[in-house]
Amino acid sequence: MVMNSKSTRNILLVTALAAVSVLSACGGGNDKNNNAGSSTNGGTTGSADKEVTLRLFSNLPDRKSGQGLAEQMVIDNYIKANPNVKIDIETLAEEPFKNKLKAYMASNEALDVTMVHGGAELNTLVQAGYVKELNPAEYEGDTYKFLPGVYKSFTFNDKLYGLPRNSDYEVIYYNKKLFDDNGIKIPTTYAELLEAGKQFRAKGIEPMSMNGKDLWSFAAFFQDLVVRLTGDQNLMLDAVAKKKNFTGDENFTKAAELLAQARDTKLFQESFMTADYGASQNLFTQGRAAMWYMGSWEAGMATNDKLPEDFRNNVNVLKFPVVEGGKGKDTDLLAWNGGGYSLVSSSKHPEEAKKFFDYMMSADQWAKIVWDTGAAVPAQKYELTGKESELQKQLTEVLTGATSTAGSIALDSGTPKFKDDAQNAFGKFFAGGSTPEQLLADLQKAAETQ
Amino acid sequence: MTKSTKTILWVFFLIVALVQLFPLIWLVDFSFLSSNEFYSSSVLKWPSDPQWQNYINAWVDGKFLRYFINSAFVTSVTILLTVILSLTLGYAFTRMQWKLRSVFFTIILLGIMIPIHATLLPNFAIFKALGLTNSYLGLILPYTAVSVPLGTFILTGFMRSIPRAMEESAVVDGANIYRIVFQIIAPLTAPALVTVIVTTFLNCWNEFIMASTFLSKDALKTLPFSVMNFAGQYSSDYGSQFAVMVLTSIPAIVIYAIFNEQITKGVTAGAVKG
Repeated sequence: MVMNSKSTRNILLVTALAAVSVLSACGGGNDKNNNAGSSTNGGTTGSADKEVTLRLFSNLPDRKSGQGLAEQMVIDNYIKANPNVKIDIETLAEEPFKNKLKAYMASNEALDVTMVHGGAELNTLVQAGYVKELNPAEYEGDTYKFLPGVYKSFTFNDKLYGLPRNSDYEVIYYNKKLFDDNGIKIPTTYAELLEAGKQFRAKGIEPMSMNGKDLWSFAAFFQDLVVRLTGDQNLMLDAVAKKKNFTGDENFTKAAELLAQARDTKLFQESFMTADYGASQNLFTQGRAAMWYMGSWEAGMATNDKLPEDFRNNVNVLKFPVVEGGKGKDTDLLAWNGGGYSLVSSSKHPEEAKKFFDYMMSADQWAKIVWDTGAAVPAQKYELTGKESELQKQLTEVLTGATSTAGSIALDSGTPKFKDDAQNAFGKFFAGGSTPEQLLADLQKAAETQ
Repeated sequence: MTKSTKTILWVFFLIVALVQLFPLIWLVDFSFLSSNEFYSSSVLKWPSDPQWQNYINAWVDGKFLRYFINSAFVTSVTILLTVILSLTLGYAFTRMQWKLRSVFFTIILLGIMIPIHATLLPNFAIFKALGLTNSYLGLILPYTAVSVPLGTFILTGFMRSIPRAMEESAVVDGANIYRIVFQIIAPLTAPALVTVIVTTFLNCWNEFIMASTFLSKDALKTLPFSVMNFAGQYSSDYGSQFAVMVLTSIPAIVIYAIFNEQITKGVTAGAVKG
C-alpha cells in the first residue's frame, strides 16, 4: 500500500509536469501561429477578391429593432455589394460593452471597427493608441454630408479619431391629449412648466416622467437650465474642464435653485429615483405621465405599432422652456454626438476595414436608414422623404432651428470618474434632498478630483 | 398541538411559501405581456392577449437552443471537474498526513474570498496569450477554479464526520486508495456532493461577466447572452427577456426539485463538526 501510493504520487507528479509543459508549449505555439497569421493576412489584403472577415464590435445587441436593426441593414447591404467580405459582429449591451472594450484595448485585440462613445471614453482609447486617426478632409462633401460641429467629442488635440453616428439632443416629449383634456397650458417658460406640474399633480396625473435611476438625465436637465439662464453653451463645459468654478457662480447657484424647485414641487413622477429608462418610458407611453424628458433618439415612438394608438397620435415635442430673466433662448439646443465608430489600429485588414467604415458612414447608408426607420436622428444631413411622422418633423424643426448647440454633454466631457461622481452628486441631491449649495460643492469636487 | 394552532401554523407556512414563490409567478406572468405593459400600476397583470410571440422570439432571436447546449456542456464539465477535485482534495486534507497540508488547505480556502470579477482582466490577458479565449476551456477553467474552494470546504467538513473505521476495514479487505475514495467515501458524502453540484450548477448557469469577456464567437455563447440579445442601447424588449428567463430558470427549478431533500441535508450535515 505504501509503495502503491508512492508510485501513484510519482505518476501524478509526472502528469502534472507534463500538463504544464504541454500548456506552455501550447502558448508558445499559438503565438507563432498568430504571428504567421497576421503576416500572411497582411500580405493578402491588397487583392480585393480575397475572402476577408472583418470584426465589428458594437453596443447594439438587439438586431431586430431600433439602431441595432439599422446597423444590421448597413452590414447586409455591404455584404451584398462585396460578397468576398464577411463581417463578424460581436455585440454586448452598454455596460458589458464598455468593460470588454477596455479588455480589448488592454490586450490590443485585432478588431477592425468598433463602436465608441465620444468624449472621455474615446480619449482613453486614443491615449492607448488603440484607434486610428482619420483625415477630416476625406469626409467632407456630398458622400458624407456631416453637419457642422459634430466632430467635437471625437477630436483630441485637433485630430479626428472617430465619426459620430447620431445627433442627440434633449427635448420634452409631451402627451397633447392630457394637456387638452385637463385644460392645462403647454409651458413655454420654466415657471409655467412648474405650474403645469402642480396642476397635473392636483388631477392625479404624473407631470413629468424621469429615468431617475440612470441619473444622467438630471445632469442634462441641469445643463439645460444653465444654458437657458446664461445663453452660454460653454459655461458648464468650462466648469468641468476646471476653467470656471461651480461654486460661487451666481448662474450655477440660480440653476441649482431652479432644479431644487423642480424637485420640491414634485415635477417628476412618484418614486422617480427607482425608475430606469424603460420604466420611465412606459409610464409616459401608457398615458399616465404628461411629459417625458428624453433624447431625440425616441423619434420612433410615433410609429411603433406596439404602443397604444391614442398615445401615438398625441405625442409631441416641446423645446426646453426658457427661464424668466435668463439670457438663453429656447433655440439654444443641448445637442451632442455621443455614439460613433472608430477604426482600430491593430486591424489585420486595414484597407478592407476602411472601405467598410467609409461605406457605413456615407450619407445614404447609416444616416438614411436610421432616419427612415425612426431609430435616431443622424449626425449627417438627411433628405426628408415626406413619409415622416409628425413627431419626426417636429424633431427636425428643433434641430434645424437651433441657434446654438452644446456639442458635448457636460457629464461626458470629463473623465469617467467625473461622470460617476457628478451622477452621484445629482443622486444625492434628488434622493437625499441636499441643498443647491451642497450640489454645487459636490460638482466642484467632482471636477477637481477627476 | 390544538387544532387552531395547527391552522395558524399552516396559514403561516402558506404565506411564507407564497412569498418565496412570488418572484417566479411574477416572472411567468410578465413573460406573457408585451414590453409596453411593463411597469404599470398593478403588481400582477392578467395577460388579456398572451404574447406567445415572446417565447418564439426567445427561441429564435434569443438563439435559445444553441446557447442552452453550450451552457449545459460548460456547466456539466465544470461540475464533473469540481466534484472530482473537491472530493480528492477533501480526502487528502482530512485523511492523509503530509507536510504542508494545513498550508495548502489555507491556500485553497483563500479562493473562497477572491471575488471572481477582480481576476477578470488578468485572466483575459493570460487566456489570450494561451489561446484559451473563445473556447469552452476558457470558461470551464475559471468556473472550476472558483467552485473548487467552496466544494473542498463543504466536503472536508463532511468527511471529518465519517468514522475512520469504514476505511480501515476497506484497507483490510485490500481496497486501494481510488477504491476507498470513489467507492467508499463518495457514496457516504453524497448529500454534501449534491450540495456542491447544485451550488456549482447555479453559479455557472447564471454567470455572465466572465463569459461576456472571454467569448466573442456566437457559436460558443452561453444562456445569459440570450437575455442580452433583446437589449437596445436605451430600452429593451422586456417581454422577450422575461420569456428567456423563464426558459433559463426551468432547468434550475427541475434540478432543485429533484435534489431538494439532499440539499437541505447536505447544507446542515457537516455543520456540527465543520
